[in-house]
Order: sequence, then C-alpha cells, then structure tokens
Amino acid sequence: MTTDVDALKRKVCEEFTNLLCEIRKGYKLDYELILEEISFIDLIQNNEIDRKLSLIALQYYLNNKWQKQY
Amino acid sequence: MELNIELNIIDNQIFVSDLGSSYLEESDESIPLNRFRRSETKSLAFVSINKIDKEEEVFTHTFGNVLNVDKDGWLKVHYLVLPTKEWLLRVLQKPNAIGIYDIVYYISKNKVYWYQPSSEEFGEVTKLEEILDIAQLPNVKTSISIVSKDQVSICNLQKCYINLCQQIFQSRGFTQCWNKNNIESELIYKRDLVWMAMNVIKYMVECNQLYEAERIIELLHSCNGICSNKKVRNNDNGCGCS
Repeated sequence: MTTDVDALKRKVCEEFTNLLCEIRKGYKLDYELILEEISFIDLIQNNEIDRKLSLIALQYYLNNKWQKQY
Repeated sequence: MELNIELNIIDNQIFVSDLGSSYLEESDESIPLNRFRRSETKSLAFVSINKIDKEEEVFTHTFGNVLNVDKDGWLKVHYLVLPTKEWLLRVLQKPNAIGIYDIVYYISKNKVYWYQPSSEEFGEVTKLEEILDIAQLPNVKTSISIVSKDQVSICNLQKCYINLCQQIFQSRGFTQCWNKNNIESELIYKRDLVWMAMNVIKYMVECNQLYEAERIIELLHSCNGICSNKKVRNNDNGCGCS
C-alpha cells in the first residue's frame, strides 16, 4: 500500500508539473482531479479512511489520467 | 569530529539541534586531533541557496544554532564547530600538543581567528565564507568540524497561502449580502495553485527531488509568479504580485 501511495504522489507531481506548463502557455485547465488526489493522500496518511475503500480508490486514481481540457 | 544534527524550520527560522556529536567527556584532559569538550567549542552556521542555473550562494550566517531565513528554496545548512580561545590557551600550555594541527581555527567573541603552530602567528579571518572552503580541504589538519544538510523552505509560500485564504474570507463573505460569485475567482484559483504546490513540493522532498522542488518554488516566486519575492503582509492587496 505504501508503494501505491508513493506511486500516486509521483503521479500528482507529474500532473502538477504539466499543469504549470499549460498555465505558462496561457491555458486555464480543470485541476479538480489533482486536488482530489492530494486530499486522498492526506486521508490515507492520517489513517482517516477505511483500508478496503482506500485500496479501491487508490487504484481508481492511479488508473485515471488527468485529462487536458481546452 | 563527527557531527550529528537535525534541522527544524519554523516561521522563517532554522533551528539546528545536536543529536549527539562525538564530543569528549568534560573530565577528559587528552588532546586528540579535532576532538573537543562541548564546553570548549562554539558553533557557526551558514545557509546557502541552490538556484536553478546558478552557483550555490551563501546568504546568511550566525554564531549559534538559530538561523534567520527570509528566502524560500532549496537551502543547504553548513554547521561548523570550532574550539574556543580558552581551549587554545589550555593546549598551548602543554608542550608540543598543538603540533598535531597544521593550522588552528578558533572562535572568540563572535569572530574567527587562526593560529599557525609552525610559525606561532595569529590572525583574524575577515571573510567568514572562506571557512567553508578551508573546512573541505583534504589533507589539511585543522580544528574545524563541519556537517552540511539540505533543507527545503516554503515559509513564504505558506504565508502567501494564508494571505489568499484571508482575502477570500474577507471578500464580503459571511455577511447578509454575501453572494458566492462576488469572490474573485482569480483569488480562489491562486489559492488552489499554491495549495497544490505546497503539497507537491512536500512529495518531491520526500522523494529527494530537491532540484524539481526548487524549480517550482522559483516559478511561483518569480516576477510574474503567483507569489513574488516581496514580503507578504496581511493587509497587502495580493501575494506581492501586481
């Protein structure tokens, strides 16, 4: 589970870096998914979420790519 | 002398804590190379900043354990321990004891001095940053003990975030005539970006991606960035960006 949380953190870092690149080009994109992922990581690290639910949600966020929306 | 320290950063100050360095016992009268009693030492700390595409640059120092840091970024704390003048005077009373050193650096009254045993000459170190280079010279027996640690500071970024939250809260919120659409969407956008940045920087530090963390900090604090280099005040119009 720790490995998966680390993978999600790396995903968030990459998505945020991409978001900043798009902002610098002048685009304003939807970042709700990134906010959700960060909040979810906090919930896991603070043990505020059921383990089974967290595994399902973790897989959802790992498999769900942040899409560019123009 | 092996130094073991921990860094804690709180509100633009870095506190250096000694976790158990290899000091001699206070009753130990021996004079081994580069080992001292704690009571016969003083500490000196430097902070340098690693900027993208620029050389590491020292920007502050202190005699003691508390460093004032007004910058965000990838910082490097260089913590040095040097003996005091009292130690040198004690050692000079013992014949040939000082001969194990090529050059002795010591602290007296918040200044650094040097003493060369071979020529029995004294002098003052006028440029303190030179001590850092001297401490890292190989094969030179000096009385300097040094340890360097990385620390990423986002204190100003946190203040920027709080400032934005306060502006949103005060933007005609929680009054009878409050309309959610009245809150500047730009403020909410900036607040969300800063919040995401703070968390992403934290993840990058955990993965030891300090260069990438510094890149994001510089982007946000740049001239047209969300949080500029100006000091954030609570009654400012924004984060310092106009």
